Amino acid sequence: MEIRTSEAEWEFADMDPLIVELLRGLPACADPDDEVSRKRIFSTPTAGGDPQADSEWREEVEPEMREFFQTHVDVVAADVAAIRQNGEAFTLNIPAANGRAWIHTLNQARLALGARHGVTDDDTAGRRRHRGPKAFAIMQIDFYGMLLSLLLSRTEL
Amino acid sequence: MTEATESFEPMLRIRGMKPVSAASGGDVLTEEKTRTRELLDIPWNVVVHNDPINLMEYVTKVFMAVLGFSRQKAEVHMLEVHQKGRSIVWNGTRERAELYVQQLHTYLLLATMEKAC
Repeated sequence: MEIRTSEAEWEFADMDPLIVELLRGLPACADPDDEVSRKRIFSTPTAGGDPQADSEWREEVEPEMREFFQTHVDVVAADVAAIRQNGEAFTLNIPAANGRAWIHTLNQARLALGARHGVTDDDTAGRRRHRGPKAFAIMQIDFYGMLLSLLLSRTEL
Repeated sequence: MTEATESFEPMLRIRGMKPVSAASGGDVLTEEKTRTRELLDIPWNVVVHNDPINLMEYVTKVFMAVLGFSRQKAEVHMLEVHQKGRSIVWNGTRERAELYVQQLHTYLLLATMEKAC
């Protein structure tokens, strides 16, 4: 994979099919469609310390936040849908203006994956080895983290 | 920055701080004012908790963006979160604390608010 950066965009060229599949899976990974990932993505202000405040937050703030987060995911989904294929190689272009949407979605996907698979500090530090779905989830978290670091280095929050 | 990000207006949801109507009776108004004043006077901490996923550089940048920290101060708090599991990043009125918590949540940090005493 070749990464080219300019003022206007990032270009990820010569990507192999595995990378493309990971990118195409990003919006779905970011979707907090189960209780454990929903709780992580939409955490509450007192974490149970004040049930009434948390309940009000869930009713009043969470829907607005969900809508806001989805705008970021939609931007990423559109960029991913526009990946170009040239023979065996694929190219993704991320406009600089979409950098924050990508940063948010990559982070949301990593957090949702981490919550779903019970990922711990030992897992992310490589101190514990896994097989099966959890190992794949950790690989996704690492890959999305690499992209996140790259985008973060050139984007102001 | 996307348009959606710029247009996002955080909502303030503050229990016990309902606006007091000018048409309210005198006693009620006084009591509401007193209660509101008490709520405002109680200091609240904004606490950021560790999680195994968020990148250290990301957390540092969020502290700089949301709380206006210098990079050095942001890194001190980020390391405190990482090493001690939590860091108090702000202290003050409940209204402001709630606003900061909500802003930190929009960046997907684990943030809560708690009474300072």
